Formats: sequence, C-alpha cells, structure tokens
Amino acid sequence: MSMDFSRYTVDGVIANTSTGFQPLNKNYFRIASMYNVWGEFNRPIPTDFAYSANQRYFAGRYITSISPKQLVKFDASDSLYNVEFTPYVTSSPLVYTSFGRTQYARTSFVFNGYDSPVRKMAEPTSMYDETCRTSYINFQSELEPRRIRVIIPWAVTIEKMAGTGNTLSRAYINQSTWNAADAQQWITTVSLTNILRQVSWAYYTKEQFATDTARQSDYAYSGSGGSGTTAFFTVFRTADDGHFFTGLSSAISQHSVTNGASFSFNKNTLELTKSAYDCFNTTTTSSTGGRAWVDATMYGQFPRFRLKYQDFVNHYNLIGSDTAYMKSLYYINNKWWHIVGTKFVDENGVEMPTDDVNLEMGAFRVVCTTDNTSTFACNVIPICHVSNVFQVVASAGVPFMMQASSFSWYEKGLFEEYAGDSVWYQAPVNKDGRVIEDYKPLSKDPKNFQGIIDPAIIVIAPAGEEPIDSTPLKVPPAYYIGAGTQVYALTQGQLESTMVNLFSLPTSIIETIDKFNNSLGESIKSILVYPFDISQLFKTAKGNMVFHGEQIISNIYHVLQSTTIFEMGTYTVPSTNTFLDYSPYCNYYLYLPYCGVIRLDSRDVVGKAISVKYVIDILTGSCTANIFREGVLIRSEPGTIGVHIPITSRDFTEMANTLLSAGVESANALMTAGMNMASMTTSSSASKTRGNVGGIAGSISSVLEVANNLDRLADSSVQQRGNPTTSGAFVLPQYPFIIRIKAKESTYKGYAHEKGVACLKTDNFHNFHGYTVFQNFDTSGIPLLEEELMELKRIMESGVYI
Amino acid sequence: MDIYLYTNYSDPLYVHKDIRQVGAKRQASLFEPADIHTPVLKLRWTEDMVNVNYVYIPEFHRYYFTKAPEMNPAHTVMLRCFTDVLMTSLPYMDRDVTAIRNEFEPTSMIVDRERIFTSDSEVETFRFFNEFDSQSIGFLEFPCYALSLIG
Repeated sequence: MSMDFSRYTVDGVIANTSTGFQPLNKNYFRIASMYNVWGEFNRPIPTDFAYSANQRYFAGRYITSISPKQLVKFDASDSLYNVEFTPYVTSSPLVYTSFGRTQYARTSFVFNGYDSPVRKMAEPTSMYDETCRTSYINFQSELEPRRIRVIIPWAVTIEKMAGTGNTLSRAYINQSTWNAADAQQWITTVSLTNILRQVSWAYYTKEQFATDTARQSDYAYSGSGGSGTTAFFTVFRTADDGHFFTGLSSAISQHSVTNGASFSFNKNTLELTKSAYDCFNTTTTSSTGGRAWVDATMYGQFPRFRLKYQDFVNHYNLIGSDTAYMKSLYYINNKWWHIVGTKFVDENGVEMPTDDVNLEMGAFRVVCTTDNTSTFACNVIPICHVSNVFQVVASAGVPFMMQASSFSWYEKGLFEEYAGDSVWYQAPVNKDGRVIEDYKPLSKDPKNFQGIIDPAIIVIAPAGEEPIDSTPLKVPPAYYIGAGTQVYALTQGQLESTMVNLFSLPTSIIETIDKFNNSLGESIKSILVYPFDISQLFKTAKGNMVFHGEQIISNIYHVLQSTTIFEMGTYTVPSTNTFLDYSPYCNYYLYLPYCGVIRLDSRDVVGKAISVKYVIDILTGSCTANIFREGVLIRSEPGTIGVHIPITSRDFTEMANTLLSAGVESANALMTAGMNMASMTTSSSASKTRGNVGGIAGSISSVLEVANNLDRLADSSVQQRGNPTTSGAFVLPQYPFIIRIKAKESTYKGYAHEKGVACLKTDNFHNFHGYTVFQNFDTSGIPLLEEELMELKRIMESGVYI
Repeated sequence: MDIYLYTNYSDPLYVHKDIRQVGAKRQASLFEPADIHTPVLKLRWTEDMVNVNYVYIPEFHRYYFTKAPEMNPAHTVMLRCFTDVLMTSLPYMDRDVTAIRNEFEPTSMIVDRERIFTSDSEVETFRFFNEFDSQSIGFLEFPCYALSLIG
C-alpha cells in the first residue's frame, strides 16, 4: 500500500565495522522515504577520513551518480560502493555517502527537488528473506506536481548484512569480521520495514567512548570492563504532525551498567537537552547480563492516534541470540501499560481500549536483558511495532547525535515535510541544533538550491494542503462482522495452506459441517482478493484460525471490522483564473479506481480542494468512493474493489463460459483449475481424507495462480457479478486522478488587438489603451451635433482604438 | 476661414490620430451651403496637398476626414469633409466609461464568447497522492486475500 510518503521522513542509517563496511550480495539496502526529499544535510568529510584500522576510521565512497529523468533501479545486490542512485530529481542533487568517523556513519542523500517525482518504493518481499536483496527502488518517472517539502536525508537502510556464519535473523554486522573490538564499534540497526506499519522504530548507534575521552566527558559516560559503553539516542518524529520524541539507551555491557543520560528534544525549539541520571534499574554481573532500558519521551499530541495492535517485541543482540526477557512499557494517557499478547494492558491486566480512542503516548520504556553468552554483547533493540497507528500517524526514526566539537562536523536533520502549497521556512541553527533565529519564510525557491545546502539552514515547510472534514465519514466502531462469519486476511501462501487444511479436516467434522451447510465449500462464504494489504486498512488482530474446533492455521490476521475508510488524498486543481477553466471550455472528470470515471461540475473542481475517500466493505468487496469539495461531501460513487476468487463449481462454470466467449487465452488454465476445484468441491465426501491433500493443494494453487493473473482474465467472473471492470482494474491506475479536457484555443494572435477580450471595467477613458469596446457610451457633455453624437456613440460601442 | 491640412496615418477608429500637418495654415471658403458636420471647402491647390486626407477647422472646433480633393481648372480644389467624431470629442473624454472589451485589460472570469477555439482539445491529469497497490497481490508479506468463513 502506498501512502503519502511526502509526509514521512526518513529512515536509515548505516553501519560499519572497524574493518570496513563490507556489503555483500546479501546486503539489502533499502531506501525508504526518499520520496520528496530535498535538502538538507551536510557533513563535510574530514580530510583524515580514510580507513585506518587503528583509528577505526572508515572512508566511504561518494555516490554521486545522477541521471535526471531516468527510471531508476536501485538494486540491492550492488555493493554500496557501486550503488548508483539516480533519482529523478532536479539538477545537481548530490548524493553522497560518508562513513563517519569511527563508529559513526551515515549515508545522506541530498536532493534538490521541487517538482520532485512521484517515487514509489518497492517494498522488499520480506526483510528477512533473501529475496529482499533483489528489491529495488523504482522511481516512477512521473512528476508529482505538488511541492515537495523537505527532508531528512537519512535514507539508506541496511536491513541485512548477513555474512558467512551469520546466524542473526536480522543481521547488522558482518559477523565474519565481528570481534571483541568490533563490539565497541557502533552498530546501527534500522527502522521501518514497512513505513506504514510502524509508528516507531528505533535504531541505535554505539559509540566507543573508550577511545574518546572527550566524548565520555561530554556525555558523562564511563566505560568499564573494557567493553566501553554505549550511547545512542534516537529522535523519532511523526511525520503527520511533526512531533518528535526522543529516546536514549544507556550503556549496556555485560559486566556493568553505568550511568546514562537522558536526552530530550524539543521540536518547537529544536533544542536538545540532556541530563544525567541513572537510567538502569539494576546492575548486573557478568553471569547474569545487564538490564537496560530505553526511555523515550514523546512531545506533543498525536491527534487521532489510535492503537491497533502490538507486536511482540523481539530482542536481538549481536551474538545472535534472542533473549527471552523483554518488556516494553508505554506511558499512554497518563498511565503505564505493557503488552500481553497483542494488547496493551495495565498493571491490573485491564486492556486498553484501542478503538477510535484518542491516545496520547507520553513515553515508552523498553526493558531488556543483555545476552550473557559472550564477553561483548551489545543490545540491539528493535522497538518495532511499538504501536501500530491506524492510518494516521506514522513516524520514522531520525538519528540525531551530538558530536564532539573537536571534530568540527555535526549533523542536523530534523525537519518537516508536507505536501501542498506550503510556505518554506528556514531558520539557522547552531551545531547543537538550537535555532538561533526564528523561522522566516524562505523567499528563495528551493528548487534553485544547488548542491548541498548550507547545513546551517533548516528548512521547514509547515502544513500545507489539508483536507477539511466538514462532513466526515465515520465507521461505526461497533460494526462487527460477527453473525457466525469470520473474516481473515491472508497472504497467498496462508490461503493455500488454509484451503488445504480445511479440506483435510477429519471426516467427523466434515459430516458435522454437512448438517449445517450442506458442504464444506459452502462454509466458505467468499474469498476475495484486494489490491492492498488488508491488515493495513482494516482493524485486525493476529490469532489463529479455528474451524469447528480445529486449528486451521496460526498467526494470521483476523479482520475485526467490516468497513474501513481509505483516504486517497486531496488535490486542488490549479486554476488559470479565467473563464476558460470552466465549462463548456473545460470539462472535468474524475477517475476513481474500481469505480470508474465520473464527470465533475467544473465549479466544484476549479481551485477547490477535492478529496476522495473510499469506504470499503471487506465482506462484499464493494466500495464507495466519496468525493468531497472543500470537505463537503458532494458525491458518492459505488464500485467493486474486491475480486471474488471462485471456489465453487458454479463459479468456475460461469467464469469459464465468460472466458471462452471472450477468447481469453487463459481459459484452458482456468478451466483446468475450475475442474480441479469442481472435482474437489463436488466430491468433498471423497476428499475428506488426508490422502487427497496433494491433489487439493494443487487445485488451490491453480486457483490462486489464476487469481493472481486477474489482469489476464479481463472481466471474466466479475462480469457475472455485475462488476465488469474489477479484475481488469488491477492493471489500471490505482490512484484517483482528475482529468481536465480543455478546449484548445486558436493560435490566432491578432485576436486581442482586433476584437479585444472581455473586460467589463469602469475607469477613466484615458486609462484605457488599445482596442476597446464601450458599453452604453454616454455622450453627455460633448458639444457635437446630434448626428455626430449618435455616430460617436455607435463607434464607441462597436470598438475603437485608444 | 482658417484651416489646417493634415495627412492622417491612423485607422479611422483610432481616437488619437497620427496626423502630420501639411504646409502652414490655409485659407478656405465654403464651396456651397453645408452644415458643419459635412462642409465642402474650396481652397487654392498646391502640390503638397496630394496626400491631404484630414482637416481641422478651428472655427468649427472639429476635425474632419476628407475625400479626395476635387480639382478644377482654376487651380482650386474642393475638399468634401465629414466630422471625425473621435478626434473632435477627445477634449471631452475625461470621464468614467465602462469598457466591455479591451485589448490589454481582460477581466478573466468574464466569459468571452468571442474567443475562437479549434476542434481540438488538450488533456491534463492531476493525480491524488495515495493509491491502492494491486502490485502487492500475491506477495508473501501482504495479506491481500479475505477469506470469509462460516462457522
């Protein structure tokens, strides 16, 4: 599912080891939120920025390839050194990778982009999957007409750095080079597997204070046990409203836990503060491991913040062992909560309401144990899915690290971005990130910025175009599917397994089912495929599918609501401020995915903020596109977005007939699948033994294969259901767009001189120039003969040159 | 009476005429009884009068267009004149008037039905930001399938 990434910033970070960054083919570099990025980050590369084993310096390479207007493939199989990142941006964006001094490094991408393109991020198939290495970023070569705001150039994420012998489920460091010394190196893990899925991820950097006394002093850390201490803190932000919150992990080492410091970041002042305090609640010995917690404080409100579910938070460490103990506490609505299963519960075990309840998260705390199996253990704590916010709030982790002044380089990167016609602001900040002066509107068009922008400038584009909800849509919170029908959101693989398992149920269960539903097939009310991740749009809870007491499949999404709303965004059609924008000179149409094309009244469109919100019914596959003018609902258009996957013999017969008549080449495959399925469903009694599992699985696979090639099926089954374009619509644009058909004017240049243009203006005669036609020219006071006055009047009203 | 002869280089519809005087002030007489709107002047021919097409008669406070001079053997010519109401009324034009068409000052939102359009048209599209993602169908990590199960 794509969202408005212009509202998201960043993520990303980069890791290195003392022996250098060794990207392998398995490395997966992910560029997330490169979208609509421009400006502003700069860190001069020190002259000594070269690899040195002793100093643990590492020099990065520049990545400077730019090919505007090209479709870019960012292939993760490339090494970092060879990456050519060629986003379609305006001139001279400088993309450079600089591996920072010692443990600290980042990759920053600097873009100048004003009319930046729509860039779509190709999601990895799985962040854990080897195939993710083939994921790439596909930048569509189409212009995003809206202004692009900002940037945070922390854009590269290394999610996987699996090396030989690396057993980490999420590897961050090439383990083959991992050693004790490296343990003191920083490590960065990353954020945002799926930018839509998390409110926050944390990633961490580990600083080696043991070799940096100045920094130790600066942060009031002290190393011990020879392992050094760890300091990292993370600034999160919510892109939707620009709030920030920060986190800090204090030192973690096997032998001891030392004092840490807290940091806070005020998003209004961009002021960074710190205060030392003991952030560990216990001191452990080498035999038991340490405990540390990450404390984070959020600033500001999270409007419409809704919690969806909480995933279990894993705890990884560099050794590769997951520790058993991990606990997260969340300070929400003035109360601490922890997670049990997928629920927030308080200390008394009372669940937190998660439906449409405005929640303000004040802080979160992660308590974990360190691994005690190695001399050097660094905790890497992915605070993933801390809370899954329903559609509204998203955030990304932004690394923010104070640097010792002696290095004379620093980073800043806390900005806001919004789409729309925003005003650009800038404010100079000092190297500590404090705003020196107030934000001032930026008169200079950012698109003219060249190269790296002065790091002393932070550009903020405050809220731009926002939809106005004067007639808001509301999904009934209690609208539960119920009535004996359970709806599950499944992946293709899960669906296959589910079907196999369903049709492999013991005979006794099948016979029971027959008493109620005549057949197992009829127990399956429907299977629909949707062009989105159902778990992202609908309220879901993870659990097991249990059917007549039998567990069919585990760890799947149980859809908890029947209807949801998906906002497609808001667009204001630019106006030329002439009558030519309006009918009959201009006609406007609105293409609505899965609903068709409707005509709009030009008066509803020109210069008006048009919003589109889909209401989707998970059970029927139907949808309604609601069109708003300036927040006022002006039209609703029904459609069908879910495509039925045939599961009964009748379905297949209908589909097959349709395909045959249409001459669709895939008919044979479909018929085969249909026959298999028909066989499966009509002989269910004979298929009640597990001996038929293989055949059934084959049938299911065939069906799904067909279902995934719905574009080849043309309108087939949906025609039979009165939804003539649904499956075909999978290949059509997935976003609404307004079509403006404008009458083409003659290129006749003498028009204005010879005929004038409509004016209707009253002024002193001498203020008019050129060809002018007057209305009801009053000749009073002119001492001419009557016939002359009549002639004068006639001439003035037929056109004269002044 | 005194008259001034000119060559007018402007279109008759120009209020401010581009006129250039021909010779000095002349003497002319009315050839025949006529009103001041369309007088016929009689004056002595001179060679520089070949391009005369415009006259000012101070006595009548009017500018006139003239037709081609009518020559006679006595080296006199007749100039048949008719009032240029635009140039003549110019001193009285310091007044507010309402223009419904003008060459340089369009009021953009007023529908101009005189505009000329071709039979062709231009198409533009403006896309909304968010989108569904049919490309996610079938990928392992995307639960795109909704299974409704009774029981």
